[in-house]
Amino acid sequence: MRKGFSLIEVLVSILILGVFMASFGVGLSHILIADEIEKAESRAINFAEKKLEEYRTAVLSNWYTSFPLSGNFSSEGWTSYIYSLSVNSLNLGDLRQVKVMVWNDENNNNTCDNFESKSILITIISRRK
Amino acid sequence: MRRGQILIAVIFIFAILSLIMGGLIAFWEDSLRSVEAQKTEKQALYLAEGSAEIAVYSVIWLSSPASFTRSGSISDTNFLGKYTVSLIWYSPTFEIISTGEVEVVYTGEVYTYRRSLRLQGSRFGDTSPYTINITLWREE
Repeated sequence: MRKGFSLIEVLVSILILGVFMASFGVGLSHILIADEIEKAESRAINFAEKKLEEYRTAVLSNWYTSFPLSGNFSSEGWTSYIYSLSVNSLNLGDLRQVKVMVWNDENNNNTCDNFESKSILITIISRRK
Repeated sequence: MRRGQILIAVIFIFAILSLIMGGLIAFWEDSLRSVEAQKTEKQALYLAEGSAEIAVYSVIWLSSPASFTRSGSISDTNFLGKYTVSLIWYSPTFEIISTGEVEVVYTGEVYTYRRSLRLQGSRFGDTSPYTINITLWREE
């Protein structure tokens, strides 16, 4: 018998390599997309926390102070991240349920679309004085 | 070289590579899950803090606050949270125990993250709004 690979061996090796590379590629692309989403959501939750604490500081010193209910984080260098703050009064207005949503506005339409990474923080703040 | 030897070698190498890659992907996914957990735990903590504020409100604004336990849920798009808060009023000292719980669906499975807070303090003053002095604020 002659030395070297038979055609069958080469074809089967290529097939195995192809199946392996394809499945690995699909898995890797899913992981990379998930990684990107997680990073964006993690950044968004940090921004949400920052904005919520700014709001808390403002209303605890003056319950009726005005606070911008939406904006971006250009001061942090992230203009694509937008926040939206909504406040519901509870208990005759002495308790407020505050929701901060931050999203990565990829298409610059100032609206949180389904495909955009977002994070939400919800808490309740009580009037102190 | 014997017939089939190269094929066996190729299969063997790919089996090893598959194991290594599988391990790497599992490790990577684990790290992604831990980021998700951190994020959701933060949401649960803010919910626990928020529910503690319900009790703080009673202590600051009510002349005769009564001990209570209250539960509630907050649902929003991509957010499902539950809270429980207990105020134990000893007059003028108090204890507040609050829990925030947030559910998240990750890769098809539902995970629940829970954070709890215990606050202790005392109240001063003659009329509302009373002044409160928090002596303990602990995550449990």
